[in-house]
Amino acid sequence: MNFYFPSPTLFRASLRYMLRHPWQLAMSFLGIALGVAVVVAIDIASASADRAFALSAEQLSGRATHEIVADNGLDEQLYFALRRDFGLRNVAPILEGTITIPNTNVASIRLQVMGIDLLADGPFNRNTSSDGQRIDMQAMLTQAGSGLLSKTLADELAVKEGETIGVEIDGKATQLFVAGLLQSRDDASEQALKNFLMVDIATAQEWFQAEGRLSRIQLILPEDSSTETILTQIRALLPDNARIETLQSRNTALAQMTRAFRLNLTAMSLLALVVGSFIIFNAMTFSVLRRRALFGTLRALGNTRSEIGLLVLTEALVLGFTGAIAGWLLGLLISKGLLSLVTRTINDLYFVLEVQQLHIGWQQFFIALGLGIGASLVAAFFPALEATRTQARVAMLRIELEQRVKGWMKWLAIVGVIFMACAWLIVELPGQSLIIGFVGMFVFLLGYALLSPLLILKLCRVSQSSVKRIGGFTGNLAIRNVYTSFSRTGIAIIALMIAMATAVGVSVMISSFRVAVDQWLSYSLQADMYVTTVKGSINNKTPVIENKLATQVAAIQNVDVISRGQRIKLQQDGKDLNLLVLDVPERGFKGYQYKEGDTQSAWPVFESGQAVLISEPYAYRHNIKLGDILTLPGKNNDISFPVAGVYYDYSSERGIVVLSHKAFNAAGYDFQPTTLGVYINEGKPFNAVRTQLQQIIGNDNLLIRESKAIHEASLAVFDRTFTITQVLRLLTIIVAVVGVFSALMALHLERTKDFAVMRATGLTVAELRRIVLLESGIIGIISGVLAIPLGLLLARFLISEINQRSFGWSMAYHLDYSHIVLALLLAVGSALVAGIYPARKLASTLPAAALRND
Amino acid sequence: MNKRTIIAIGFIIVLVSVLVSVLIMLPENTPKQASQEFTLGEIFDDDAGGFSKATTIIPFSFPADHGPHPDFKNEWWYYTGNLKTLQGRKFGYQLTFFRLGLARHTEKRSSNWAADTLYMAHFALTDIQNGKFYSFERFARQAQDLSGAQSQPFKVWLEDWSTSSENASALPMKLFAKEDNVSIDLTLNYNKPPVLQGDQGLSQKSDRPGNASYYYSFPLMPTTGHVRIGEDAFEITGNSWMDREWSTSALEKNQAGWDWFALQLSDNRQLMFYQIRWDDGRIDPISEGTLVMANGSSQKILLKDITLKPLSYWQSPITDKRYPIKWQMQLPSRELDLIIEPKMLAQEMNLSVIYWEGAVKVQGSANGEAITGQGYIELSGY
Amino acid sequence: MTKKAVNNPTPLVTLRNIAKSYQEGVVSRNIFTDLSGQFNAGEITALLGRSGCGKSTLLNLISGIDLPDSGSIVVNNCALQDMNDTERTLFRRHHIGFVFQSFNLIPTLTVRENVILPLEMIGESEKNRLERVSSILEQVGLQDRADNFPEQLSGGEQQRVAIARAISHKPRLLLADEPTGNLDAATGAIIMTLLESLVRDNNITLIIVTHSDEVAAIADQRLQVAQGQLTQTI
Repeated sequence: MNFYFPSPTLFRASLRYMLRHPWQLAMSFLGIALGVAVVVAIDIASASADRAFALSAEQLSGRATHEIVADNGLDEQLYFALRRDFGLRNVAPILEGTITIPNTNVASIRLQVMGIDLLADGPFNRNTSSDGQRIDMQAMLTQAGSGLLSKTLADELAVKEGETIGVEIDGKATQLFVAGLLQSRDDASEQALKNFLMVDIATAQEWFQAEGRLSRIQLILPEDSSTETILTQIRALLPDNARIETLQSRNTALAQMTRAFRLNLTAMSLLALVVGSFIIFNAMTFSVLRRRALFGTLRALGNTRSEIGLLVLTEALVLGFTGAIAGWLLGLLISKGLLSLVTRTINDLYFVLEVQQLHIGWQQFFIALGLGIGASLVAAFFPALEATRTQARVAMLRIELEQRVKGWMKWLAIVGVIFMACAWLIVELPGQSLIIGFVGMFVFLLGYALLSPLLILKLCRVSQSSVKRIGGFTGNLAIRNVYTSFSRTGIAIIALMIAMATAVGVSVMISSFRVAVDQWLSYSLQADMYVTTVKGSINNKTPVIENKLATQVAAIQNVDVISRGQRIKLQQDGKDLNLLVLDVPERGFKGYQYKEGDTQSAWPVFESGQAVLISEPYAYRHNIKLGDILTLPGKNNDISFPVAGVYYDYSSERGIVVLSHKAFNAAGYDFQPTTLGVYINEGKPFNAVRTQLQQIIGNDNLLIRESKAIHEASLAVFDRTFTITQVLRLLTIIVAVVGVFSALMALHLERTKDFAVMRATGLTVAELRRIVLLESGIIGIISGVLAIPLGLLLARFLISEINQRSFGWSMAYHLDYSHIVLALLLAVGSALVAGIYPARKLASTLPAAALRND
Repeated sequence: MNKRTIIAIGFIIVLVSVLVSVLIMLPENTPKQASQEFTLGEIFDDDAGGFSKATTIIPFSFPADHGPHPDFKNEWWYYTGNLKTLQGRKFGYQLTFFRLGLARHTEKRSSNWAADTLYMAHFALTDIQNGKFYSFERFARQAQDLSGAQSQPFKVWLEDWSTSSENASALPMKLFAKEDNVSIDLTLNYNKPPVLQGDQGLSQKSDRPGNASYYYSFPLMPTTGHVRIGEDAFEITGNSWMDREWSTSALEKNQAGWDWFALQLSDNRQLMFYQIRWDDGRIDPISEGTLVMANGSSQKILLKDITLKPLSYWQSPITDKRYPIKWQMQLPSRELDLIIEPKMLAQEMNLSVIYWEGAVKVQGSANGEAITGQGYIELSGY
Repeated sequence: MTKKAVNNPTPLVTLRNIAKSYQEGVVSRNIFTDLSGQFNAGEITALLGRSGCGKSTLLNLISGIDLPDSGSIVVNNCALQDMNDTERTLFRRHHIGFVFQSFNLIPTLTVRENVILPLEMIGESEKNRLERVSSILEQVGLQDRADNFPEQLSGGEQQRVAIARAISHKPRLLLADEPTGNLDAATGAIIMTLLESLVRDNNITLIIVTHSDEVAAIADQRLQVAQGQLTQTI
């Protein structure tokens, strides 16, 4: 088949058409730009976080291949054993911590301190060369508090080599002597380096009061047949709590942790783009429908179908291209704001990561172009097809078109139902793939969108009489306008509906989640107070809650019972295995809420060390059920336990195995508790107990925290974590409002002449305005009403599929009616807001002018 | 062209220029040149800060002076030697421990890593038959038993490299160094009095008082032991030379480097001579040496007594540095005329500090009679 | 001129046994059942008949916009019913001009651009296009309005542009669907005079649908469309 490309004059006609309808142009442009912007911004923020992580990992690991780590840090003697006695050359000690540079121009800056032995560090080739700068080695080694800053940071702080600045370590003020500046190989690495302060290991030990301790030991081991032998020999030297792992697997594991979170963000951002595509779809359909007569003439003049189709697609292409570019630029702007939210969540949930540098690569530019153009072309495909169908016998009648649209509805609805069924089948597929979950969700959304025209029509029919009764003849006119010009209103309604449904779905999911976490906190924090060793401190000279201390605490007046716990990470099949070892009274054990099993049957076997509990994510990820046998790596031999219960837990995505200290001992390990739970007799006051407790522990390395405080702090973290989700939801709604606005503008402007006729035949300005606003309101209400079931279904989907697949967590569906009311209000509100301008504009148009203007 | 077209074109121009400017503003990832971390010179170069200087002649006392002198900033134990197996396979070695005092009288610190001294060690082995040269370097602070020096019993060590003795006399000395698959394990003997270099052990390095070191040598140490390269172990014998020097400031800023010769002649005499070169190529008149006689007595040699002439050069393919590698040394007053040439060309120490130090052989005449010899020369500052 | 055409009656358009019906909801309405007729080259034919009798449908069939259910339409020796949509479109592009009752100018193009469009479509060179446009605009008396947009013109002027557009690419056949229907009598007369002179000067065959006797008067033959048949009238 021959394709005839439209002639330049036709393009000119088309360009002028767009320019003559600037609102329509601007709205579709904005729609695609906003949709693309949200995706781009999220992608940039997410990629920046990822990149920052990779860079700092690369910066700080250098050529290291393996790392020895332990939960509570390592004794430095292990390093000497490896270096001096075992004779390993490429081994480096590392002690980490953080310091704060207070009151800089902007805000306090938190730096990650890396204490190393510069003299042993050479082979590691860390990205810390001093480019043309001199390092004051003498100061580094001999002067406490000397460190190396990145040149960028030094420039920002306006400090030079040889100067001293004030810093804070755990709130205590001290001095940092700048013994030299670090400069990196390239700008990106320089940015990663910016968060780091390199100090001598002696300084680090003194700063963090960790004399004799190390955080990690890094090694470069040859990659050959000897590696395994060396590893085995090294393992034999390691204490119980330490393990050696490859840096690659460690970094991959860390990066993997955030994968589900980042995928969730991407999916949310794609929703915004879906809504944006609806706007383009709407605008293109509209502009095609409006030009039916024109296309008819063109066909009569001898333009082929392909020329007309290409003309429309080219318009979409131009729109998509420019919208994508604008969206990309806008995305760059938004991403800065989103980045801090993304980073905060990663910090709260996963690991410490400072990201200051946006990583803007070509990737996002091409994503923007691809999505922008792709979405516009897809959205314009049907309008273009429709344009080619235009018969040369000068346009079908409007009413005929509307009839045809209605004829399709039945088929659309059938396809929609099939889609929804497919979505259900997709998520029922075995497997835990998160992407499959999202695919299912999008297919479901699409299905519902296809079904909704029929629903909208039915809704209009059903409500017509009541609207007529309430709104009089204007009401009647308004609702008739909505469904007789369905080809114009339908898409706007659907776009708004999807946005609102997303809002409802996400809100319900978050609130269900929050309720679940709240309840979980209440029952899992059974003790009234907890004494914990300072978390993450390698300076744990007393890493253990001593037996003596426990006995003393138990003896405090009004203390009913105490519990002791130890969290420990073991390695199983190369993966981390999180264990919680408990010496817990029955009162504390009752806190567990079971998905499978119950307290009565679990307690005796657990207490005696014959069985273990597993958390729900663990059960999900390992496909283990109540009663299954779980094999754990014992100190010498593997040891098996039956699973006495699967309990709800939201503290770990990877899952936890809980066992009693007796079972732990049976596996050959020493129970070294790091937390102590204090259960106070019912109704007795806390304060006296607390005071005595403080006297007993009297040690800086132990903290007393009340359950209530932990509970509140955890919920605060929860809320912070979901800020990013809320922001994304808001962005999607903004896109939808733009969509409704553009649809209403288009709709009303098209009918300027109709309205002029009505005005000429006696319709007042107020009535006209009322009709327009009523129409907007009706559109809003319909969207809202349709959004509610979809939103609730989405929430179910998010809870039972996406959350389960992402984190392995299940939770009860908690419906707060305020979400529904809010969604309705939001839908009507945004539709009304979108209707205000067209209403004013129409009301101020003089009927005579409108009539004259064809 | 009408107004609308102009607007459209304007729009496109704006768009394109925005795009182009964004492209231009994107940071380029050009790698910056990374440099060496630090150089020995930089550390040597520091001012005295609390250290004593070598200004006056002091009596040496042994074995105490085999141990460290922490009042002085820099100190080294310098061993070189020519070795061979029974079958005549030849090796050369160098093992040097440098002590670098960083500060004096530092405050007491709570971390055991805190140190005011660091050690650097260089280890080289020349496998003449295979034309292989191995060189290694280590650093460690004097803390946590990583490195250190003591006189009773004598021991200087950097991790598992060491020189030590089980006897109070510090003799015989044991040398051990191993890196990768190369190691030496040697026993060095000496039964003559130490040779005090310079003026009774005070060796002036420039005109300025205090720019001097205390310097003594064991110029001929019969050596036995083992050399290992990979799977092969060689039992060797040979002769070593130990130089001991400590100082706080030695070189002037405009002194570019030195050529140092330590030669063991077949007539049982040993000759040490160093010449210090200035930036402009002139030889510092303070350059001097010692001729140790067969009976152990020694004679001082001044620059005016000697003619040193480079005969040929070798350019390192790795560093591009050009070293005068073959020398003619004439001492007319002693009727000595020597040609010194390396046993192997590629004996460049490409470490934090780059210099050429290697085994040499000597041919020539003494009092008109043919003479041979071997030794080590060090060419620095090229 | 008229004589010449009568003396050598070469048929440009031949319709044989045309049947055409439209589906309207569930009812199908027959417009033609067995219509035949002939339009000679260089002649002006007036199509007369009541509203809804199928005059416009006939024009759509002749131009290849629409296809008959059965029968054959031969225009300029090409059988339209044997061509596919694109071929018919290209045929129309090259050989047929259209003048509508409601002008149907492209509102976003200037007068000149409207007239240029058909020339561009047939791939005329830029130089020829410009020459042709200025000559034709001069012929319709609108050379000074070339850069105006259609909405800036009066109805009569718009129809003159439409005529210029319809004959700019020198079609063999010009189809006019009540070209004076939207114009007052005086303007209508001027338009018809213009149309006739242009058609006759360029030897274009004109088929004109009209209700107006004055318009019909200039035609060489007058055909009545009634009961799905073409009949000669006086």
